[in-house]
Amino acid sequence: MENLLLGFEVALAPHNLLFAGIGAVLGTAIGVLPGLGPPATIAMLLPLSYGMEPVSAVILLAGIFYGAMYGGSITSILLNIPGEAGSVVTCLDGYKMARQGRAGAALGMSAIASFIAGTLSIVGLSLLSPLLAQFALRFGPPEYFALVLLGLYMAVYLSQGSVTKGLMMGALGLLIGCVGLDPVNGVPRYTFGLPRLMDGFDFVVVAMGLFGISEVLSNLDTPEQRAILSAKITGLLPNREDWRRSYGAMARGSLIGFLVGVLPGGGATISSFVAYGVEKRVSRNPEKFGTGAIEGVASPEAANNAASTSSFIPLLTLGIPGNASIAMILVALMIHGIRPGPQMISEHPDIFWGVVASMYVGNLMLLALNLPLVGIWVKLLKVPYHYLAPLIVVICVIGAYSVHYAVFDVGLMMFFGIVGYFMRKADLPAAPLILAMILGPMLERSLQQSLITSGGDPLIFVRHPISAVLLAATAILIVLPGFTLLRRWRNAATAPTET
Amino acid sequence: MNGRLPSATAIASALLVLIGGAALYGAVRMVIGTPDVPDAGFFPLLAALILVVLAAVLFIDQMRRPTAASAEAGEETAPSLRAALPVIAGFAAYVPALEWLGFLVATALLVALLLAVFGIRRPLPYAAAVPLIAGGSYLLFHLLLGLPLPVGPAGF
Repeated sequence: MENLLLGFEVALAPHNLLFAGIGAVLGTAIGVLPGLGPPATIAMLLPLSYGMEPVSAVILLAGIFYGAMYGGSITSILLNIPGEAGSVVTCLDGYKMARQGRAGAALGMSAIASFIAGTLSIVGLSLLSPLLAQFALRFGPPEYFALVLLGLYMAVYLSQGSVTKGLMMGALGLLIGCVGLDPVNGVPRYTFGLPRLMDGFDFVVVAMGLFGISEVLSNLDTPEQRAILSAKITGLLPNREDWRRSYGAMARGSLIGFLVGVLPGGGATISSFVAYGVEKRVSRNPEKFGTGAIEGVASPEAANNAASTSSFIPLLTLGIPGNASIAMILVALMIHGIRPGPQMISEHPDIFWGVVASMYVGNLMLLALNLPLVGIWVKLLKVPYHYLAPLIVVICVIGAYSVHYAVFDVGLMMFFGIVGYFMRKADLPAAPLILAMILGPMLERSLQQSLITSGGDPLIFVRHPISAVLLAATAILIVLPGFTLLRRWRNAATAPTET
Repeated sequence: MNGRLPSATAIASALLVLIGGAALYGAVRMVIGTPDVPDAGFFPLLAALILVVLAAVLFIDQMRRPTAASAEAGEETAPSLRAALPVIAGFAAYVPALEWLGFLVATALLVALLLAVFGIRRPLPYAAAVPLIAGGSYLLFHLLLGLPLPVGPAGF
C-alpha cells in the first residue's frame, strides 16, 4: 500500500500526468489510424525519451501501448477495419452494431469494458508482480537461460503464423544481436572491419526500420479503402439491457485477458480471440454473435485491454518482454541504464510503482477523454494516408539520426526497413527477430555462466528444478508443431496425385 | 501460412540458409572454445546452426507444397513490387543525398517522391505538402528543439 502511494506520488507529478495524457491520446490516435502500430510508434518516439527521466519515458510509452487498444476498437466499430490486431474480433459485432445505428453504444461499451478490464488488470499486476519478483530472486544463470528460452519460444508459439518461421526469425535475431563486441571476451564478431558496427546494431534503429519504414512500404500494396460511417454518433452510454448482457462478458474477458497477457507472446490479439470464443460458448444465444451482440464487443475489448496491462508483469518482474511493443519499452529502460528484473521493485520502486499508478491514471484519462472525443477520432480517420506516410518516414529518419547523430544509422534503418518489407511479403514475422535481438545477450551470458560454473556439463539445466521445469515446458511446445509438420508431409506423400 | 506469396517464403528461406551458412563459417573462424569455457564463437555457432536447420526445413516444406498456390501468389508479387520499387530506390538514394545536400533539401526530395508514389495528383496540395512536411520537421526538430541535423553546402 505504501509502495502504491509512492507510485501515485510519482504518477500524479504534473509532468508525469502530462506524459501519461500525451501517451494515452497519442496511443488512441495511433490505434485509430490503420497502418501505424504501437511498436512502430514507440520505436519512433524512443529517441525523444533520451532526455526524459526514465519513469516519465516509460509512462509516455506505456500510455501509447494501452491507448492504442482503445483507439483500435474505434476503427473496428466504425470502419470494419481493425486499427490494431487486438481489435480484429471487435469488428464482428461492433461494425454490425454500427450498421444497425448503435455505433454510440458499441463505442461506449468498448471504452467502458476497456477501462474496467484495464483497472482490474492493474490490480492484478500490483498484487502479482511483487510475488513473482520475490520468487524470481531464486533464479541463477541456468534458470534465466531456461526462462529466456521459454519466453522466446512462447512468443513465437503463441503469435499468429508459422512457428517454424517465427523460430527462424528468432535465430536470425540472435545472430543480429551477436554483431559487435562479444559481451564476455570483447572479441569483435561479424563487424566486417567497420568501426561503426563494434557496438552492434542499435535496437532503436532496427525497430524503426522493421516496424516503421516497412509499414510505409507495405501500405503501398494496399490501396486506401475507407467507408467511414457518416451518420452522427449518439447514445454513447449503454442502456440497462446492454449492461445486463455485458457485465459477465466483461468479467470473463478481463480474467482471460489478464491470464493470457502474462504469458510471453500472449498479448491482446490472442486474448481477444479466446475471450470471444469463450463468450460464444457460454452464451445462451450463441447464434446472435456476429450479428451485433453487445457482449461480442464487451468481451474482446475487456480481454485486449487486460492483456496489454498484464503483459507488463513479465517485463517488470523478470526482465522478459513478451511482445514487440513491450520490448521497445524495455529498450527505453535500458537506454537509461535500468535493467528490469526481480530486483527492480526494490531497487527502483519509484519507477515500478510509478508506472503501475500511471496506468490507473491513464485508463481513467482514456475513459474521460475518449468518449467525448469520438468526433475528433472520426475526423482523424479522414486524414489520407498519403500525407501520413512521408511524415512517418521523416520522423523515423530524425529518430534514427538522433541515436548517434550519424547518417550511417539512417542508412541502417532504411536497410532494415526494406528487409522488413520483404519479410512481410514472405510472411516472416518481425517481432521474434527484435525480441531475440534484445534477449540474445542475456541468453548468451546465462548460457556461458551456466556452462562455466558446471565445468561444461549441460545437465546443470536439468539438475536445477526450476530450469528443468521451464525446459520441459519448452520441449513440449517444440515437439507439438514438429508432429503437425511430419503429419502434413506424410499426408502429402500418401495423397493421390491430381491430374 | 495464409496462402500469401509462398514463393516469396521459399526464396526467403533459401536466402536464410545462405545467410546462416555464412554466419556459421564466420563463427567457425572465431574462437569457439569448449563447453566448459565457451568463447566468442560458441553462441553465434549455435544460433547459425539453428537458423540453417530451420530455414532448410522451411525451404523443403515449401518445395513439397503444390505449385499452384505459388504461381497464383507469384502473379500478385509483380504489381505490388512495382509500387514499392521507386520508394526503395528513393530510400537508397536518400542516404548519400543526406550527406551531400543536407537534411532539408534531401528530405524535401524524398517527401516529394513519397507523395507522388502514394498518389497525390492535385498540384496545390502536393506543392504545399512538400515544404510543410520537410520544412516543418526541420523547423520543429532543428530550429526549435535544437537537434543537430545533417547540413548541406548551403548551410541547412
